[in-house]
Amino acid sequence: MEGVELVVGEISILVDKLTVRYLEIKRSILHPSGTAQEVIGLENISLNIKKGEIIALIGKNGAGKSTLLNTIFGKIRPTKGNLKTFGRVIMLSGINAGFDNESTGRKNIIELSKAYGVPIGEISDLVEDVIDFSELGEAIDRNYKGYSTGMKGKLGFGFITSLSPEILLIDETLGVGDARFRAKAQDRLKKFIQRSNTVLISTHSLGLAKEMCSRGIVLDKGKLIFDGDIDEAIKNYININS
Amino acid sequence: MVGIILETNINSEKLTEKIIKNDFYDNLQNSRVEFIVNRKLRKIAGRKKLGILWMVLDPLATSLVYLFVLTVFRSSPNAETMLIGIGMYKIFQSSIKSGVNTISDFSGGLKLERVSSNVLLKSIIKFRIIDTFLQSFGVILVLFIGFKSNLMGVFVFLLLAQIIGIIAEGFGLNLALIVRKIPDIGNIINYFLLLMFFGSPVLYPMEFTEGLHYTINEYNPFTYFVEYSRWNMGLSSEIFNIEPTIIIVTMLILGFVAIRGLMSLDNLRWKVSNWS
Repeated sequence: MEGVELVVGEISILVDKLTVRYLEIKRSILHPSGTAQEVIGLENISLNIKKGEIIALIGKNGAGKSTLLNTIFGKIRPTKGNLKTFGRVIMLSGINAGFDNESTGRKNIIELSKAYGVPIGEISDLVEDVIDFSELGEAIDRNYKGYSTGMKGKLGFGFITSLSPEILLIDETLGVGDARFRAKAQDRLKKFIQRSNTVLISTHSLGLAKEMCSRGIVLDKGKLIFDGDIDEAIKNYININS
Repeated sequence: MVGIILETNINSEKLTEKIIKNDFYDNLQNSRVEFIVNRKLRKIAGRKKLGILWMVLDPLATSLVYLFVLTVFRSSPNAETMLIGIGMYKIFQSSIKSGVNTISDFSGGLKLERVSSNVLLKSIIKFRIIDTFLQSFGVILVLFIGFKSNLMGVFVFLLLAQIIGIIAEGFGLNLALIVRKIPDIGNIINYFLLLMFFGSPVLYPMEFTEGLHYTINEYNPFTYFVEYSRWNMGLSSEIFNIEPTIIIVTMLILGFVAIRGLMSLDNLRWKVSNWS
């Protein structure tokens, strides 16, 4: 692929001249079928991410971070360019992995584990691990719809971070529970990130970016502004903001 | 997580995956189909005490209401004819609506990992078969026990219901894109379905129609299913008075459109993914 340094066998994500434009359809009585207006999401982005890298995606709101993650995830169609991923991609965006309101927390975890390909023999250990982490106690056998927002957050976070993806995309890290639980969650998140082969984290938390990542990618108005050392990336981001 | 996806290629035309096809992959695909179908059924059942039993009861309840209304108007309706018509129509209606609304969610309820279009298509077909069976079940039970209909007739009804269900789902999928683009067409489809309910031989046999009404029903594929089913149960039917060429050509066109709809799911999903 032109413009991208290729290291065969080590590549995890390859982005070549990627452009994403959303089609915003505006309807009126004169134009019932709507008139399509293009909105730029990403403009000519090229990246080469190797296996084992933990990368921070930094930028203001609307910079294109979520668009890039969603395009890598396979949810959004690029307008131009190519993208390749090597391995199963998991995207952590919010705390709902697909929980069903009418089932208990335990049943939800078992069903989701099967659907996400956790080997049958490992499901019971995973269930116990999630229950232990989420501190839901007997509530695990109550219907999910009765859970408070905090309980849903703990269960969702506990389940998602029990998986071991090959490529992990994180769209904003989450604050779950009280101060004590947040510290515990932060610790679990770090282990989750370390366990995943390749990680791309979109975050506003420069502290987390600096602690976890060695490389930073700065986006602004859909364009790649900087790609390199995390400290330099943070400086670039601060410069844009000032 | 077990590595089964070697490579995913994404561009503006399509998303393609190079996959290791092994037992784990097959089991995962099957688990996902099961997951999506169960979720759909649970969504219908919701918090209702009778759950999915309502799918069985709905055609019966609707038939009872129309039987009552038409009896009051002294139309002397034939309950068996009406039950077959309403049972078949309910399946047609829910299938076409399901096809049109497919576009509303392509995640299959799994938010963390992209579900392949193949899994979504299998889920759609599996759910359609279960949904149609449940909707047919009450009808065939009443026909078989209540009206002493012959076993062959009941079996043919079940088979025709499955066929019309899949065809209507595929036909609806063809309309999904245009409805997404112009939501108002969704309302027009609802009126069209209402017109079909009263215009097609649902509440009455085709022999009750005449002139232009009869001619339109000759080209209406719903007529073939419902009238053939009635003939099989020894009821009044016009199925063999319709020109076979018309039936064959209409069914070939409809079949082609339905298969095109089902096969276009992946394109449809990709096309609308950057619409906002």
